[in-house]
Amino acid sequence: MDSSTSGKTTSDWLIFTRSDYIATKVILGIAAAGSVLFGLAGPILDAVNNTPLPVTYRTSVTSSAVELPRGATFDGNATVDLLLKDASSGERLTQALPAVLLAALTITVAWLLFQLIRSTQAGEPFTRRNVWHINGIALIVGLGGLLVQLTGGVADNAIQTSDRLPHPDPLTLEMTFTPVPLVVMIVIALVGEAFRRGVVLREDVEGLV
Amino acid sequence: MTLTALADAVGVSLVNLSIMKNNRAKAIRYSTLTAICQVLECQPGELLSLAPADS
Repeated sequence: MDSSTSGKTTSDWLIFTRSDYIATKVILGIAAAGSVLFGLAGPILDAVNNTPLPVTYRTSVTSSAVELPRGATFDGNATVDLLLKDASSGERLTQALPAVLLAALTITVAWLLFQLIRSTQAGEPFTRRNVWHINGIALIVGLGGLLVQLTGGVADNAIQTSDRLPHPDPLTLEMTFTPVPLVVMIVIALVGEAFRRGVVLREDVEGLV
Repeated sequence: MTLTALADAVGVSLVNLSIMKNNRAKAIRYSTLTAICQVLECQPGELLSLAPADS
């Protein structure tokens, strides 16, 4: 139910004004710039300055090395955060790959959203082009999200399998996946389908007086 | 009667009336047709005619 305060209903507050469009575009720009800054500029600067590379190493340790609270047991597996000095280009690239990929995907999604916002602001949201844009966003979020997780897993396990450190015995490789990107992809694809039907309806009423 | 006066009387935008006048309309609402007929005191058949398909 719409609540009326100072003559405006809840629905009225959700209507996009010119300033809302501008604010959304600014937010998209900040997101794109931020992803470039953290995903690309950060690793490049670290490589130039030869900053030690932070990596995660999983190994097994004896329970005597760990102080345990009373009643707790230790399974012998430990995750250690290491800083690798003089990391090779390959090692840096592997560790930076998930963030680089995420930055590329974020920029692409931001650009597609920008196109969508621009045509919506111009009063032409129901176009076949926008359907393509929304479906593109859905695919990028869903499949790109999975790819980022996959590269993240590869990066996490890279140090386990490299020759730089002794291979832990047993060799433990871990990779975690969340289905959230796939769920978001389905939701965005539904919006795309709604737009596709909107395009058909728009074409139906074109020339109607 | 001018097109502007007809648009005001019918309650249809001048742009839409121009589209109809220039044969660019692809469809017409019953409400629009009825309103025009009421203002012009005529029947729909007096406003519409079927042209040969090849013309």
